[in-house]
Amino acid sequence: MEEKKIPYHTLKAKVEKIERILGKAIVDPEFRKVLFECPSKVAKQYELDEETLHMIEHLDRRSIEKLAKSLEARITKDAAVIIFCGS
Amino acid sequence: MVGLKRAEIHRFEEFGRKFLLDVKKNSVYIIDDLTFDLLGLCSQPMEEAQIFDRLAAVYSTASIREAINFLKHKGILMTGEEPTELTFQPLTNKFSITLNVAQSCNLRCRYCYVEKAPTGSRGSLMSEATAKKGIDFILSFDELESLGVSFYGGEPLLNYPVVKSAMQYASRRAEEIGLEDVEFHITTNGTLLSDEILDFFKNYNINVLISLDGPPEVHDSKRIFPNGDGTHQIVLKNLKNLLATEGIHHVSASAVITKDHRLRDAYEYLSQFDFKDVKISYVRYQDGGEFALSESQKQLYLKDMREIAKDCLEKISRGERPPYYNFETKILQLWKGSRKRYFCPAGIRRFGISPKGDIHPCGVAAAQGIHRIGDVHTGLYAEKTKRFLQKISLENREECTNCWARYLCAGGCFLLLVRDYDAKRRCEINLRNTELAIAIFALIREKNELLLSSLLDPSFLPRLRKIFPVLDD
Repeated sequence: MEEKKIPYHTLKAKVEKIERILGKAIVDPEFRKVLFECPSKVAKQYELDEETLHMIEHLDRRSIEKLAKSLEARITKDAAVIIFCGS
Repeated sequence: MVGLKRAEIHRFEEFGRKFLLDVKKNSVYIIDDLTFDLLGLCSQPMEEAQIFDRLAAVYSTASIREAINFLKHKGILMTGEEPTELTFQPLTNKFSITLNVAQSCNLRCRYCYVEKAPTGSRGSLMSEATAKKGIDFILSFDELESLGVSFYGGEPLLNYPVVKSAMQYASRRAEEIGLEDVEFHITTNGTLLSDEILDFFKNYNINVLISLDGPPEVHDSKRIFPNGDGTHQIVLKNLKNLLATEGIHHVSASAVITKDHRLRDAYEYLSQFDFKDVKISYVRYQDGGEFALSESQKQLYLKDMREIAKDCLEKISRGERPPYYNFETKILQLWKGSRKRYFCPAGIRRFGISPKGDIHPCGVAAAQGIHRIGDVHTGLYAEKTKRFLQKISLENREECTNCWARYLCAGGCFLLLVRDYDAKRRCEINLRNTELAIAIFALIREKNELLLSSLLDPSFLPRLRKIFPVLDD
């Protein structure tokens, strides 16, 4: 049977949506909480299809939390490193 | 009729594109020629009809309308006032202490500020008891969730027994109180890294920051033993051993650019090694020392910085993590859209301890003997600490009041303000660095926001692609 091809613009829109959601999950703790505790709410908000929702449910919360923590530490320069600033 | 007001913005061109920063929101946009020109017109409040009149010769009415609507929607053009209540990035509950274990050094680097520091403690070593008291002090904070312990000097490995015992003590104490996240750091000239030390470090989550200015002729012109011999050969030998040693340690490098050398050359040289971070900065002096960059050298520095930015952009676009550290904080800050009140958590979450046990806001302040805000026996002096924090807070940095980059740089490192004699030059380099960071951020986000995660963990996106195969397309 021939595989059903998704039109390019539909696929592109889907990819962009996933990128936006995952990016927001990294930088926004409130959104992250909703994403992991009530993914269907995010699915509704972003009009996600069943397949994408299913993928989101398989996300590893710990790895995103870890990345978010590392982001905060890098921004605030909380790392133990002695940092000589900027330029 | 009420005219349209423009929010506080910065607009600039870079890499053939035009960028817009909404200063108070720390939001970035890539904009077209029309939007760029329109924003230039609106430096003073202007009615919409005037905007159409002024731009009609070049742009269509429909496109002008679209640009105005976009800017209104983003809150960049408005009829009311900009919000005045701003929130700042909260600090994490990581607390770190820098133990200045040796206020002496086995080298005589020609640009060293520690040697020139007005301190009476030169030559002194920290005792094991003081190091332990310093660790006890940092563990006493109620909000503590993770711990960093750094070693600084002079050359900290001149007092290796105390470094070793302090690392063991901090690890044991952390375990006792159930603290899992413990990170160590040492800044070293790399000449004393023996096999015994490597054997010890490899079992700890320690970041070893080695000072390496570049190829032998560059490094050896400044970083010398007391007899004048260069140190490159021995540093390179030890560095290779360190990089070849399997363990959980990390290795980073720090280089200083002086008037005789190019940023580009240091970057290229350091790029050949597998460093976690590479930090490169130009030499700073209170008195405009003999190695400071001249105006023409500063221009070359800025040119090199742009070339490095291009390289970083290419690397991040490929999902790699560029080791060059100097753009990273600002790129990540833009991603999160956060504003900073303090450049770093010195005096709040980070402290430095001098060899005799005085508490300073960070290790560099301890090395210079300035801003004493407590001691390990009695703790922080509340009033002195409060005054120090007031002094460095962005709200009180008058020189930053109207600067477009203020929420990204938060006034910069307060110690560099003391050491850098030329504030105008410092800001010029910093502003250029900020523009390049903005451009990198915006261009990466345009391509795929998730590529920014490679700055934190390059393995994250490939793992994500396993869950979301569609991201590969």
